[in-house]
Amino acid sequence: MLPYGVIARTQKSFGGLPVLAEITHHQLIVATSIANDKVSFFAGLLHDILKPLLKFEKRGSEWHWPHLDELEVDGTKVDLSEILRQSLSTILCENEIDSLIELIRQHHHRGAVAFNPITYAENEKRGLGIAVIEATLFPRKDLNDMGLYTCIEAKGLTHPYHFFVLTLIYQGIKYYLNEVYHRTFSSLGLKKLIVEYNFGSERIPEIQYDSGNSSLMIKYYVPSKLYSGLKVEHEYGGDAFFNIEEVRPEHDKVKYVKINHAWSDVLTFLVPSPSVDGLTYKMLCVIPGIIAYNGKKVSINSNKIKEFEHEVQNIMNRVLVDIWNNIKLDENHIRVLPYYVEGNEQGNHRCVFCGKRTNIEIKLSQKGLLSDKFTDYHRIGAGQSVCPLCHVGFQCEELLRKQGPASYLPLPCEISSVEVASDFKERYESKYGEYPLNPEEGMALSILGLSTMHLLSDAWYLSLLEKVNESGSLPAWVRLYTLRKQKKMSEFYMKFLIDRRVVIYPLIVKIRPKALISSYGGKRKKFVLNTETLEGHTLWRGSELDITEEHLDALEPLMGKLKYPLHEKVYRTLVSVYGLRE
Amino acid sequence: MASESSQDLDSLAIEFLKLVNDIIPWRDLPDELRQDKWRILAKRVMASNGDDIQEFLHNIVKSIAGDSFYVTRTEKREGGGTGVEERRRLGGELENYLKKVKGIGKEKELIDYIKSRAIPLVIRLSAEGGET
Repeated sequence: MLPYGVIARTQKSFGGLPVLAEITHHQLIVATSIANDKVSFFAGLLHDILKPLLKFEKRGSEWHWPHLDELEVDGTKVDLSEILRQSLSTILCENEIDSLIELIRQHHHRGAVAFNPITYAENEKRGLGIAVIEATLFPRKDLNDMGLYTCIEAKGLTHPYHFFVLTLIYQGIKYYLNEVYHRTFSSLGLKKLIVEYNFGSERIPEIQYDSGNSSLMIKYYVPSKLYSGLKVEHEYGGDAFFNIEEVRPEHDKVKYVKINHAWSDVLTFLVPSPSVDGLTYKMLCVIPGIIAYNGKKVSINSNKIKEFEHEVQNIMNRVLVDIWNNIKLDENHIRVLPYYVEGNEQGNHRCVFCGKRTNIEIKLSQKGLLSDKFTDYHRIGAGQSVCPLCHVGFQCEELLRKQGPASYLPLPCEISSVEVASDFKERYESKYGEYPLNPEEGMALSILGLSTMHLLSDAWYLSLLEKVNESGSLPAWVRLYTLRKQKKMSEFYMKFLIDRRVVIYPLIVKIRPKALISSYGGKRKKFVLNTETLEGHTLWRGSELDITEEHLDALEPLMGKLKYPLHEKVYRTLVSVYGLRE
Repeated sequence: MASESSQDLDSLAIEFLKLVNDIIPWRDLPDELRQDKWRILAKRVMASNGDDIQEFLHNIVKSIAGDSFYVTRTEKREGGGTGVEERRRLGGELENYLKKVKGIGKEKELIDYIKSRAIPLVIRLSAEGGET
């Protein structure tokens, strides 16, 4: 089981179906869109700080989630201003802290949308409504009117290579955008955000700002008997890659799970979007500081939009140059890549892989593009032409395949099942006869949910694979992996590998991880991009048999026994019996 | 949540593989086979067949060990500070097992269940015995 955090919202609409939205991710999204001044930014980061206490109340027929001053913890009334005033005095002066407290306290007040940047960011009708991306995949409003920037709108993706290239570009854009977010946040006094979730008895959250290294630490105490003693720590920063690991601090017996995020892991999204041209994919990102606040009223900062647009265009060029530097194709093929990603095509020939029109003629024979290792002749058409998308996809995959270690591009996982933690249910059922979540019909998809599902797939693959430090001359945003060595397979990784359960308290979801995987067939054979994995059935390839979710389910009775050193032995047998390979 | 009937099949499947593992005289087989026993067992289970559970078992054992097999097995059990030796009559255990399977009346389903999950079941067996 991977403990991941706490939910950010429940829903009245959309049938009350739960969504995958984590509370820190929500606060970070709101804070980013109002990242113009320190007061607004820190208010955004802390505006729902009492939500993880999960103090739901049913008034009449409606559930409420009080999270401001009206709360009591252990019989004591929570004084929000006291929590904030003491902890932020090294970053904000007295007047600024007063303003910050007011912004947080008033963000649910009627009419606050005109003068409160948090409310403006969250309110769909009269503000941006960026929080709606947590609730649905297809908001009513145009995404560009919600504080999001569309980096790419990809159309006409008909072949696995097309999606492979789009996902590669997404990885590259995410990597460089993280630098932009980091620069913005650093200028406002935040270089690192550390969030701790301590499960057990309820306590008032603690905040510490360290001015030495410009880091903010938030400690949440989440009431849960079921997970009492469990601790998970998120770290967000400028140089972080998404990673999960179990940490045992020195002189401390209590292990905890640490999850590293890049800022852009929660601020960029690759989502499907319906259009008259069929299914399109949009690569979206939160525009930092789009909402300006002058202490009295809020407005849209159009300069920030222009600046950000310029940054994203530069980033797109950097990603294309990175690709070009590594596969050394004709520069023109790379230059027309965005044109093809957007669904356009030109030329009088047909691509042998996907059938798109192209004017690139190329030698395909054994000594040409396909080489003598290519085995998938039955999956290509006749001719001597290839479109830029398939050309780049083929060459990138070939490049990664030759490296030896595996390279995977995580895709959003699927949700196999969703349930609500039994202790949470009992707490509210005993008082109200029901609880404020409805997981009976599964989950609702949302834009943030998809990006979370993307991270959860990544997390699962990280439980099986470890990063290879040497990645040669590949771009910094391409990571290579190898199967974990037996000694590096901890109980935590082994258990998550088998049970695939993630806790975003009180939700417990079981995932079916998905990824695009290159260099699958080893160095000797070359296939058209593997598509089995796209379907999510095969989770990892083995020379004897592939690991499927059914097989992992059949291993679940082992869960209670996976303690040191048996988990290492079981892993060794698993690698040997399946013939797992990199 | 697994249904009761699939739980029945699951415990019968593990019991079946335990019997197969006990009947095969691993000690008398060449080193290279013994060192790779779980992989070989899983592969043979996947590759073998049978009209009934007895024939299925027979075919697995035969494909690994030929015509030799154990009819009894002596095992050390923990007890009273010193190990206590117990002689198990595998023939009798097999007979009881076959009766139990016939009684449930899902022989074909059990064979399919074992074959389709051969690898995870073998991994579980290896963990249960503590030897991997």
